[in-house]
Amino acid sequence: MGISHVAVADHGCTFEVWDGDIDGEEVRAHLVRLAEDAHWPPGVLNLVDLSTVGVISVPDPELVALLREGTVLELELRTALIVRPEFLGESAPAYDDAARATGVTAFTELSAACEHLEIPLDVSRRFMELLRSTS
Amino acid sequence: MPDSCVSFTVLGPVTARTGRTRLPIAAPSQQALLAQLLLHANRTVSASALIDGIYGDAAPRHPEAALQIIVSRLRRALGPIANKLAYDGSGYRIELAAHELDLTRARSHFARGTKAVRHNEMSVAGDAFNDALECWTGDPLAELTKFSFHDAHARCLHEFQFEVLERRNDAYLACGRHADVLRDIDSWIAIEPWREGLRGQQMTALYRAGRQIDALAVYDEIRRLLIDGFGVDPSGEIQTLYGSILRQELECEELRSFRDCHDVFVVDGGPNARWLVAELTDGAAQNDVRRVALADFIAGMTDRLSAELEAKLFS
Repeated sequence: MGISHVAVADHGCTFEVWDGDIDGEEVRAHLVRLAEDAHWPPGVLNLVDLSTVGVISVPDPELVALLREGTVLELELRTALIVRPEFLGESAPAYDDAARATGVTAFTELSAACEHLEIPLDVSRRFMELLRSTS
Repeated sequence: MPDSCVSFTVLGPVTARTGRTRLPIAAPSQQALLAQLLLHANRTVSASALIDGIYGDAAPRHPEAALQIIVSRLRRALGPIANKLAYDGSGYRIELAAHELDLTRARSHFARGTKAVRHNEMSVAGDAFNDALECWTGDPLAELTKFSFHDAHARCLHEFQFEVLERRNDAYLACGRHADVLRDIDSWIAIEPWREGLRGQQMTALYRAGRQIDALAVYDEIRRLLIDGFGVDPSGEIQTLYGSILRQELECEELRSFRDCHDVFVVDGGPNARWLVAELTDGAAQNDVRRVALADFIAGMTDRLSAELEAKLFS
């Protein structure tokens, strides 16, 4: 339960797994952990697995901006979210619109997200499984 | 500079270096945090003061998390010297040796100059103040104007710089080094054209260099600037100086200051001896009164120094 991440320089990607109910404090702690991670950001790609989240708090945009300040992410960031089907389309239009507005693209399948970010599926699957097994 | 040498600057761009390598502190908020810590080097600055210094009245919704993120990113940027940034439960501090920060070096040179003035070692004082002045490498905190701590600290550093400058010029003028004053005073006046202390030093230096008309023209210029800009006349001190130059009364002051420096010349046969040689050889001593003063000077020196000077003058 919670948020875990791994920054992988070989693929220029940060892999994240968000699991269960996540409050604002846990989100802020996650942002601080990213700031402390000597390998972050490894590049402009971000793959976030939200398929098992419950109720989650949205990251504070001010903190996110601080985190990205002075990094390559100020210029470019490609994020792919993996969400449950009910989060997309007509059943959750507000979420879908918000995702589009921030340049984030949401998918329901890991394979589609990997194709979007041009990361090998087996690599992504390996890191996601690693994160789930250690969180 | 050895690779292991650590240096931080705040009297210009905010930088951190190990050896010749400038560490990449690209984010303005990290520079602002580092600047605040450097301005209070070796003292703990509370988290709330740091947040206030960065955000002022526009604090973020989660200030502690914001500060944690900035600190973490700064630590990473400092890399091999991140251990200099310490947290002690109540706040953060940066731990530096005196030679590792330009501001500390400037204060140290300034203290050395002040002590030399107390001992009437004016040439030594001038050099010490000049060493302090050379610690500035640019306009301090210029890239951090949007942060709330900026204005008060930038003003302090600016005032400190001009205090050092004016004391240096006073020391130079007190031992006859008016040429050293004239070498850079125009560039300083371009920054602070209304600063009467500098204008007075410029007038004195020009007069002592035999440029009485230029000295009087400086008075006209500052008078016009003050009247046009602020509707006020120059201070009484400047007006008195103007009168002294007009009546050619400064010569007496010059003689007195030469004699005041006599002991300095005897003790310090280095830069002062070189200055004296220059005075005698560059044509500035054509004025009879000054020539008498210089001759009187030499006569009062030790035999050893006189012999050295004679050798330099007549070799």
